[in-house]
Amino acid sequence: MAAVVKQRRKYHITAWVIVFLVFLYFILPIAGAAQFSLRERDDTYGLDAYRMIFQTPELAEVLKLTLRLTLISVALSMAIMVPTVTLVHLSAKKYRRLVEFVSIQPLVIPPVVLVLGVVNVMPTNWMGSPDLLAFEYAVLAMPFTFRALDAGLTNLDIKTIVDAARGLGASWFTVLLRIVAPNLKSGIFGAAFLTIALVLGEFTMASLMLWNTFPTWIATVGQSDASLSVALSVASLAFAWVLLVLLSFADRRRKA
Amino acid sequence: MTMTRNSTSVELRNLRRTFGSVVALDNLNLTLNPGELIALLGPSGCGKTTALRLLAGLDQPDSGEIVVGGKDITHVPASKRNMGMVFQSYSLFPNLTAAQNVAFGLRVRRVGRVERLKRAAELLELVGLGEQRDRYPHAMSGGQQQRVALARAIAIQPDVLLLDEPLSALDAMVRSQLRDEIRRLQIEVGITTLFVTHDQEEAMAIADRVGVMRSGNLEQLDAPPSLYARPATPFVASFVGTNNNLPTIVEAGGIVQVLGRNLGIAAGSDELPVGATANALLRPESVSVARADSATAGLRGTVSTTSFLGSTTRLVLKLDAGQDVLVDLPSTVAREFAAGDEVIACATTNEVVIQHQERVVIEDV
Repeated sequence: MAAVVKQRRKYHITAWVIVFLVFLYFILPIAGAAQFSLRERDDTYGLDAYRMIFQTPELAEVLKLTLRLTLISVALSMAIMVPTVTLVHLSAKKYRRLVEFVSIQPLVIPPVVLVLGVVNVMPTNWMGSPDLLAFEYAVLAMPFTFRALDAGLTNLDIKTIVDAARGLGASWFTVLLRIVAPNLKSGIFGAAFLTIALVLGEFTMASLMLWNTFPTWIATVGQSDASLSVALSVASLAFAWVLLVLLSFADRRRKA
Repeated sequence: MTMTRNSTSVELRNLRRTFGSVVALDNLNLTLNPGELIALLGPSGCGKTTALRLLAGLDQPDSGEIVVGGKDITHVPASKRNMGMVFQSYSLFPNLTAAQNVAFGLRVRRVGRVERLKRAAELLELVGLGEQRDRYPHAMSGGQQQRVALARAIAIQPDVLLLDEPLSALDAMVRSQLRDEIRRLQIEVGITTLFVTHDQEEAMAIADRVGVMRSGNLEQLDAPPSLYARPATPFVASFVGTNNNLPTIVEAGGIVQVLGRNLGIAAGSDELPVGATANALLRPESVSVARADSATAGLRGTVSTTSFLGSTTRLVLKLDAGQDVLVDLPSTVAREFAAGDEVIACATTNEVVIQHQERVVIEDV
């Protein structure tokens, strides 16, 4: 008995050491960046860099574009992936691996190749619109959205509840809107969050397409003011965290 | 509440459905009279659920017709068929309360909010869950969820009620209660109902007629007492109820000797030539037992075990010839016998179903 207790304590301590090391691995670079962004010229600490963010004239325009791209990307991503993953779970389970394989391609194909592909196939009159980026982001987000939605649907007896709704006279649109989507809220929230995080961090495509989104703007600012650039990065990270906490909170309230 | 309505007839004509090389339904013909409850009974994979799903419109037949109330609805989508269905697994929408679940079909039919919630409340009262209307499915027991599913199915005043093993996930006590409740509601509402189950006791207890299916075919469709007493085929005889499989030989004049008595061969039995070896399927309640020192004609044996089952007691006899025989006796009679007693067993019926000895009795179970 004593040996079992000792063994359990050993596992417990090992687990906590691993968690602590992982925590350090993530927190140290962020803490370093935060400390750098708070340091002022006279080696004191203050919020000058963060105040400068709001005094930068391009901020409003950059945020407006990024927000617009975020909304379109999330809407597109959900419009494509929710019906697709639902259909796979409902009646094409044997194609799940294939859809999963297709969805992870954006992780395998370099963004520069994707951009060249898009440039070659898109109508030329679309090329002047930044909204084109949202289509690319929706594709880029596929590996994450597929997984989040797939996990959500795995926990649901989707076939039975869809059959029940259809039997009660619901159209496919009503089934998706009133039955599938509300029961897939966690998955949809997760997928939406990952898409938002992707749009807030994606640099290569926006840069190659010559659009000034939040990440490309941070890079540009970084060339002239390192403190401001790092402050922006820390602020965007904090924003993403707040968003994640809010989404988890909303999901927990729903479950309660 | 005025739920009673004009009942509808249902005809399944030559329905065939295959999945690859597997024939799930092989030209099934079935007619449900208005207001009738038919139970489809059979082992797993016999095609009973396929028939139900075809009628619901959740699957399409390869060939054949589905006629409801005189109208061919074979190619009408599920959402336009007006069928109420209760599934084996709990199928309530997790994001909706009990009342919202019941009202869902009415909402789809654009019934006003006040009216649909009123009807949902009435139906929840009808299934004894008036107090649970604001509960979400995860806060309800399995039996309560199936009651809500039943209320939801009849809320839309469907032409046909389809029940796909709705009791199989429930414990014995709740299953028996809900079974009676389904029957009460079905009679009260007067709705034509198709009930699918693999539980023969359930099918016998609830249905006006029971259809026994096997390998995509309907072997027999009959009222429960007839099905039990006069099985049309060896499969039905062996699937419905418990049987003793007693080896015998077909004799001239269409008789077989079973437990020392000459019995007639029941219609529908295997047609075997004189001299062929066969199994006689004899119900445990069709065997009587007498003390070994009595003058009763029959075969000698010894009581191996006795099992008290309430009003009846089951005796297992070991015949001197080596064969085990099950006997169901009223408990008041059975108390005269104990394990180790020497007895004489004899058949109390005049006809018996026989089947070829090499036939596999129940293929899918």
